[in-house]
Amino acid sequence: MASRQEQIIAVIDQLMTNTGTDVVGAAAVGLDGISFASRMAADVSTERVAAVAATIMGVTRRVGGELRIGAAEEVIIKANKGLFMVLPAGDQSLLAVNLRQDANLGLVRLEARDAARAISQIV
Amino acid sequence: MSVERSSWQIKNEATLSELVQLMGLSADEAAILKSLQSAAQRQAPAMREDFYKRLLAHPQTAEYFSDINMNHMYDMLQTWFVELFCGVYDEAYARRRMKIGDTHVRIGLPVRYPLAMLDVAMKHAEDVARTHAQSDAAITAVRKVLALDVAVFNQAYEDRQIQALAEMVGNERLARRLLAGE
Repeated sequence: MASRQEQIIAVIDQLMTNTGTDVVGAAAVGLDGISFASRMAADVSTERVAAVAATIMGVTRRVGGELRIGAAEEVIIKANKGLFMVLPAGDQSLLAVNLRQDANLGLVRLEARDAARAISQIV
Repeated sequence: MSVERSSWQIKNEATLSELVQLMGLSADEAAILKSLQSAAQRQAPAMREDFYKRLLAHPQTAEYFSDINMNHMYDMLQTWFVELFCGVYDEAYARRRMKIGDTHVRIGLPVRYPLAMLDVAMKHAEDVARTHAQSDAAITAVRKVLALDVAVFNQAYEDRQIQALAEMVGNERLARRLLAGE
């Protein structure tokens, strides 16, 4: 039977396959910012991205609480050379996704939600 | 720093009992310190004078004392000094010392000031210790309890930083990793 890490990698690979070249990296991350498994470019520090993803989601949840707008469902950062998305994967983990600039965001959001759901069941 | 450290689980008053154990503060040392409490009481006004003379001569520290009842501050400082010689270094003692550290944090006093002022207390505490028949043992003991205060003051600042960051990011372990610069 595949290990937890292998199962998560399979989910991430499926996400990358289903979205063509839109997703350039992804990681499953604990709320403490530790990466469970990832597919990231060699020049990207997975550890740092994991910590940043957890921080972004933590702060977003805090904002949601302060504004009483409910639970955070996703965070999307749009930069001039790409996008970064973080979404909950169950109660204890997150899915961080790095996208290229002109990615089909609608498709990726749908696929990322499925991937996050799958990861939550593995974690 | 992906490893969970057992020291992270030691919090609040438990930090002092841990430090008492770490530093090997013995019952004999505690008894020596207790026997010096009257001497400490007599020394306290001189310590207070040196302490505030320096603090109030420095513009950056003096500004914390504008619009403050100085008599109350004098009493608190002397009580703090005499309590070094209370002889009982338990959770209640820890709570009282931590409260001072918490106050420093709350008023936005940079930690370098209370730490830098400890040499004044150290000098006077050692003067007290020298009046004991076993002065070397007394000096060793008094240095330990002052070191405990250094640790407690620092811990108050660290605790506040971790607490504030953990509240912001939603996870204490993540906050510790961020503070470690990971």
